[in-house]
Amino acid sequence: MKTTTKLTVLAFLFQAFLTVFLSGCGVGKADSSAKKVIVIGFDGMDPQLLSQYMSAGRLPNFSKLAETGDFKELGTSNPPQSPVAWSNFITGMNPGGHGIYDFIHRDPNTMLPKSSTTESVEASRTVQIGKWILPISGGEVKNLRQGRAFWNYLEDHNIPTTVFRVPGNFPAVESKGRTLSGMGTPDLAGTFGTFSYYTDDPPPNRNDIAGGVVYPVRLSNNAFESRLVGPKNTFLENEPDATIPFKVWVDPEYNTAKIEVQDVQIILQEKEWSNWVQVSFELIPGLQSVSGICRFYLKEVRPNLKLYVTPINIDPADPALPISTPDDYAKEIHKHCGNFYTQGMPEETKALSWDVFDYDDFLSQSDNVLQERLLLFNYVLDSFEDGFLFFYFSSTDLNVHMLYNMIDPDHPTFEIEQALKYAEVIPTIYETADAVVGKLMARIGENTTLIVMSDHGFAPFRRAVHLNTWLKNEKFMTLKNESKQAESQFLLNVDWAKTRAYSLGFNALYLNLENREKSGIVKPEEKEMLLRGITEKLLALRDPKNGNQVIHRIYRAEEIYSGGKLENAPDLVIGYNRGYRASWETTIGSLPLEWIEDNLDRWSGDHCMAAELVPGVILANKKLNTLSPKLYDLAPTILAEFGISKPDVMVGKTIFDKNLL
Amino acid sequence: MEIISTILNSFFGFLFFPFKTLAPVWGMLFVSFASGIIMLLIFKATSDQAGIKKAKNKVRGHFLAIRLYRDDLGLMFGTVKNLLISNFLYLKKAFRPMLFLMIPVGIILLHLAGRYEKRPFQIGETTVLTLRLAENTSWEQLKKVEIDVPDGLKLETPPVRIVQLSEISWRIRVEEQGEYWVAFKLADHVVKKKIVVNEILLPLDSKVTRSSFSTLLSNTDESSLPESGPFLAIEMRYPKREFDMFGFELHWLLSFFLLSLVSGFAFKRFLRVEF
Repeated sequence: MKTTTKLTVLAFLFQAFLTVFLSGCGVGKADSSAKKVIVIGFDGMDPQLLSQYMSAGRLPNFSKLAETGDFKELGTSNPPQSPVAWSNFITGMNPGGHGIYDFIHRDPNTMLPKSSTTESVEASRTVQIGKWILPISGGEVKNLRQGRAFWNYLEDHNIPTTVFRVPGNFPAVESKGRTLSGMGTPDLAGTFGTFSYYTDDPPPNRNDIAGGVVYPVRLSNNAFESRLVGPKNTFLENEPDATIPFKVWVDPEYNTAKIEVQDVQIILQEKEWSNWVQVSFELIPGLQSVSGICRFYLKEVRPNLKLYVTPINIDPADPALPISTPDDYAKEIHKHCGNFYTQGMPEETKALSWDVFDYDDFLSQSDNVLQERLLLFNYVLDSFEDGFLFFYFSSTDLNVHMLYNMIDPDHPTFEIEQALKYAEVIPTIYETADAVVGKLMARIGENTTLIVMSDHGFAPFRRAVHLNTWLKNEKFMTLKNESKQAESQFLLNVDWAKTRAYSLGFNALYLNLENREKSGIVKPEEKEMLLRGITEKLLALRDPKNGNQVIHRIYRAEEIYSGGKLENAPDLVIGYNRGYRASWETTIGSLPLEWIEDNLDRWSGDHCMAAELVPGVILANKKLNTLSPKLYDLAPTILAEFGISKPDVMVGKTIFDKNLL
Repeated sequence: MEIISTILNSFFGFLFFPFKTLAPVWGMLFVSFASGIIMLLIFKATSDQAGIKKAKNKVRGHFLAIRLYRDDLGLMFGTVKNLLISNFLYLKKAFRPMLFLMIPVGIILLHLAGRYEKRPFQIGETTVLTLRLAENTSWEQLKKVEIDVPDGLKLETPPVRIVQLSEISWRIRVEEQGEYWVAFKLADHVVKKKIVVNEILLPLDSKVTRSSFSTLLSNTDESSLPESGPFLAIEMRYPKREFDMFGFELHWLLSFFLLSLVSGFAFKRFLRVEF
């Protein structure tokens, strides 16, 4: 060997040794004294409930944080809906900047509702071979939120970021940091969560159930066979559902069942959950398949068989859609923590609303979600070294949606026996949140800023307002066929040539404006008068049941929004009073016969009301410099903590008082 | 045959003994490198080394001819034909030793699969344990089957008895480390299945059956079920082992072939083997 070659080899070996040795010694690792900012998001944590439980001494860590730092109400977004609120948080803008105005937007060209947060674009070029359709160009799912996420600005300054399940970040936007998508992430079928329910006693309303599908089965020799339904097979003509068979055997005497799906065997007793099961749906035999995960819940064996299966979640070990950055972050979490819900809103509220679950079933499922989230929290916290960390908990939101009637004696579904039985559920969840805060406070150093926040608070949802019915009663809307008023959805029965205003989504009211809507009839010069007329009448609305004011406040888009993405803005944002909310029917363009009725759904608490009635919370280990911090203040505040100036597009301001540090 | 099986099990047990408590990759490295060397020696002993060398030289010569005469199409076609023939002759020479290699490689793979395909249970994990009985076992008979689970394991559910399949399944949770024998009893007949709860590298059998060719290949100390009793098989599923080779997730089979190839090429000159 020549001398130069030998020297090169030696140099290489020395370099390799140095790399291994130094990395083993921790050289090059983050400085433990480096600046850290940790934000914990408890969706829907309510200031009134929080204060109540703190006063009762049940939340010592929250109390300690409030005493040593600060605790204030946090002004929510307008409207106060999670995708809007979290987009305010993410971008430091209001909806005029990020373009998310509601869970549901409407397409003025079709007058149909559409998702506000994501859009699926199918492959533009395909080749058909027999029954198979093969894409030449790739389809994609788009995140419709505009504006840069604040963590992108941090990354510009080489600050490490971990953003765990922040809502409204699906698909996860491009990032140099570690992110996992949250609310808005679909299940494998592309829905926000569709459960399956196999039973030999199908409920009479089984065809009406939203968010789930009931599959009637018949036991023969104590066994039945059925199929798990997965994604649509877009490689086949007419896109049939991809399915996989499974078989269930029931013991003739005991309340136990054995389930076989693909190569997995499960034994469950009544009221037991299986672990996560990985299933693979074959799309093109031998060539293309998609992997998902689900859990089985044996609700009942006798007298009737009732088997619930969770929505098929995207498999974190082999994600079919972009749920993380980098792509393998989801796999990394899976490797350390096992399977977990990837679906955006995992708590099974629909099954409870439709009586597929009772409260105990729901609570066992939502506890699964919470325990899993706590496990993930521990992992994420342990692997966080420095920079920025956001972690999200959903339990403070969806459980309160479903159990608010247990703490609201005025709710039409309030029952004293149930209330006594489940009275502790919400405070216990807050206590779990308190333990999370306690853990963080024990671990953080002096150079760490800790912010605990929520996107909105809560209020009772006692009465459901059918806003489109009211618009029709007040002659702002005309139907094509009056006799079919209650049957139609998606405003399909509306006579657009005679309709001046309509509502879609939870707080939005639109005019049928000429040159904007497909068949718009309201001329620009009529707009102001019409908006005033509708506003006056809505504010004067009184509940026929008790005489209460139904609408607290109405906001004009131009008064509350600023930015370059105003095209989807509603003309009026309806701020319902506490106790009132747009009905589920209104959100999808249906018109029941009465304009208001009792909310008999188990979804008994809500926040889609006037923004000032449902503020969120902020607690921090620093003093705030304002009495009325807002959600969109947090992005510039976090940037300021790292010494980064506020970008011009952000509307918020920093809220930490430098003089009080 | 059982003697051979016992000898092989003891041999591989001895081979893997130093690596039992180490990360699985070290046992794989050792066995793959050793296998590479052994395969070289077998190849050398069972092949026509001179003939192989000659065939390879011919192939090299034809390649050279293709490069030299690439402007002469007629000559090129002729050379390609000769190249194919030489290649075929080379493969023919290699075929015989390959046949000899199949048996040891098969045995090695069998013993690697027993250790690397699955891993023992870890505390807190559950499994479904299924006992298969002779066809047409009656419901009355199924009802009489008893299971005896030792301390360290927990029987989590009552059985699911499937008459049409003549089988019974239970769910078991492992609570402590160790090697356990779960016993099944029907009248005077008793059979056992081993369940391993550990973090070390051990050969595992997911299934025990009555004696058959496959039981002769078994690489554990579990004996087959008696021919005359009511039991056909006991089955459970060990978790799949995720094989990690210094940070890279590779299937153990691929790792074995890659490492043994590296070993073969590394020692080829030293052992003067032509292949």
